[in-house]
Amino acid sequence: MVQDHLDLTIAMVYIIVLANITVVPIVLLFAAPLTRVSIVPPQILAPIVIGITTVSAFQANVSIEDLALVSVFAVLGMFMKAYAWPRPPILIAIVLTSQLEKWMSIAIQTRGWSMVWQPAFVTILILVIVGVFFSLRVQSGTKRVADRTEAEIGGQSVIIGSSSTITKPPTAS
Amino acid sequence: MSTQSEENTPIHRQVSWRSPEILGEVVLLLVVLLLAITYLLEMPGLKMAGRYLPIVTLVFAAPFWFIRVKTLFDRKRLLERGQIMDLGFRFGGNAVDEKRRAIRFTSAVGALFLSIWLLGFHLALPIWLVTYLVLFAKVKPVVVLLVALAFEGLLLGVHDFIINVPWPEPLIWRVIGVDYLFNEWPISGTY
Repeated sequence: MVQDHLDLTIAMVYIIVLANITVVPIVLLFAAPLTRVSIVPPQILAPIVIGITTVSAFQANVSIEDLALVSVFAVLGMFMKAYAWPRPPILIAIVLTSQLEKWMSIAIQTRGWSMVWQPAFVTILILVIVGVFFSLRVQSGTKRVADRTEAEIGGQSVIIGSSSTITKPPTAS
Repeated sequence: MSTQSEENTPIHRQVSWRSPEILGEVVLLLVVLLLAITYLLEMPGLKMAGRYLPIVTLVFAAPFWFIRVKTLFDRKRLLERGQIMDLGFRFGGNAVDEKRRAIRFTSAVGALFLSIWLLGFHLALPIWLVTYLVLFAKVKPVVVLLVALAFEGLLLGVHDFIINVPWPEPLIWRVIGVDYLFNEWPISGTY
């Protein structure tokens, strides 16, 4: 292709560049209206999303059996939400696994396990650790403030670890 | 009216492993354990390159799994001492409402899939949408109709006209001995 039709290849590259340049302003234009989707009440948004998801799940492999898989993940998602298990890692894992497996295999075959000492790897690892550290700090700070506020406002429950008693809510006399 | 001593009396109760506060967490931990066991059983049959990701996953995930198990035991102990009052099958807010909402959501999705299997996408999806929006969202009929038409348009316009999806034969159509209309739709595969 590159040897016989170089002009075509170059044209395709320029088309991609032009497409990106054209699309970015359009997308930016629609960014603000699109954020309004988040204020649509869930009872209206949910059936629409479920409908699109159902058709898309079927469409992927044109298999009605895939809907059973959707049900399994829906129930799993609800359980995870109910018990405060984070759901995004599953999505990230499903999306990135094939890429990760492919490139990790190539990296290991190229450099062996010494890849973990490469500057790029170490840099990314440090960034991840820093990110996790700050995220945990923010989370614990938020939780502390929420606990304090709830204790001040309600004067009820929320006693994990520090005390062995429960302060009941004030009763009306 | 309660006295000060009553207010500060520690609460002790027996929390069963089958209680909703605990059982769901146990199920989730078992699902993860099952995945780990599957990895371990499948690994010997894989080439070395295929074992890298399972190994890395297991090495990183195992400590977190044990930490979560410890947290579960701690939670059970705290529940028995009455130090946690507000955990369980909850999404926030009123627990009863949330349970009702979860049941409603699960049955609605189940009903959608069942009706697709029985009637096919073109009929089941708009009907389900209309029913859901009218019953649970209390949306104006005009809006409901527009949403249903938009979905029908999506199915006919994109999936039939452009992609020409081979739809599965729904049960009802098979029973009455008629080919699924939308597979032979005049616009199917026109693009």
